Amino acid sequence: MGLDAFFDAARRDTPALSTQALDRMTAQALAVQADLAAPAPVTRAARPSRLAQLLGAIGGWPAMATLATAGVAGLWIGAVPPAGLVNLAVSVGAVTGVAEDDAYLVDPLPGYTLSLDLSETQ
Amino acid sequence: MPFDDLTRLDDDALLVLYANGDPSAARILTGRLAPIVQAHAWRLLRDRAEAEDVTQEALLRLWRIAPDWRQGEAKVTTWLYRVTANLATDRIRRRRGRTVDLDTIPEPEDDRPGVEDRMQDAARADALHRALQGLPERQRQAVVLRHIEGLANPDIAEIMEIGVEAVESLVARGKRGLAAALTGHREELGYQDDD
Repeated sequence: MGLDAFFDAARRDTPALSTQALDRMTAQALAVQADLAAPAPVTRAARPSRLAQLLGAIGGWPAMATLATAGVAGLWIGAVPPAGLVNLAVSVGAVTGVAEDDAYLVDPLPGYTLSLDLSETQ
Repeated sequence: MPFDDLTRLDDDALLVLYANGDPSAARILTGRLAPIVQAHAWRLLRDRAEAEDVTQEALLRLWRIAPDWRQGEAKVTTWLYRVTANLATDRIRRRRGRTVDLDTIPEPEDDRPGVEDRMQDAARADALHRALQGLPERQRQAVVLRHIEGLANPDIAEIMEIGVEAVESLVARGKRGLAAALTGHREELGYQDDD
């Protein structure tokens, strides 16, 4: 149907690659090859700071914020206990009229009191 | 290995040598593949500068994947035809909307014997190129690979990543489209005596 004549013409009407273009492409091939042969630069990961290590250990800044909030809340409740908490403590017997009997009290230095007692008896 | 012996190696083997740093392999592969890629790019784009750009880009991609090339899985030329067609298609899409008036392009001066034949070839090739641009992308690619590059249908199927029957269908539909588009040009292009 005559299309072959158009295809033949298209095949013949194809310009050859210029010498300059071929040289440029060869130079590019050699340049990329040189890049491939070059060892990749060794990049050592920077050692994380102590703060970063601490944050990493506890779970990051959100965990740190939670910890700080819990600490402040505990301090606040200890310094100014809400009335409801005191009543609850009395009702369960944790707080009595005698401070030494209060269940929540913990003697951090029992040995100190003991040594005082011993020194008084001598 | 001497240069002459290297030229006898196939593209796959040369690409392995290229990745291993053999500069002769780089030269042989470029000399062997660049003209093939450039011809295909030209036939799809019909623009010398663009065809060279596409060739350079396609080869650059080949060099970069050379270390990861898996021998025996696909022919290097099959891969290059695919990449070239994709790059050319991108450029054709970008061209849409910007038209080139062919009358404004100066004719090359040439007084060598056979210049008339070459001018007629160029006119026919131009007409074919315009008709090809009117085809859907896949039909255009299949027709160019089959009838201008002269590849076999199984090779085209591999390049286009479709079945052989789909290639046959694309080529047949593409040729019907071309025949319809070129009907009006046949007399002016010297085909009044055909058929």
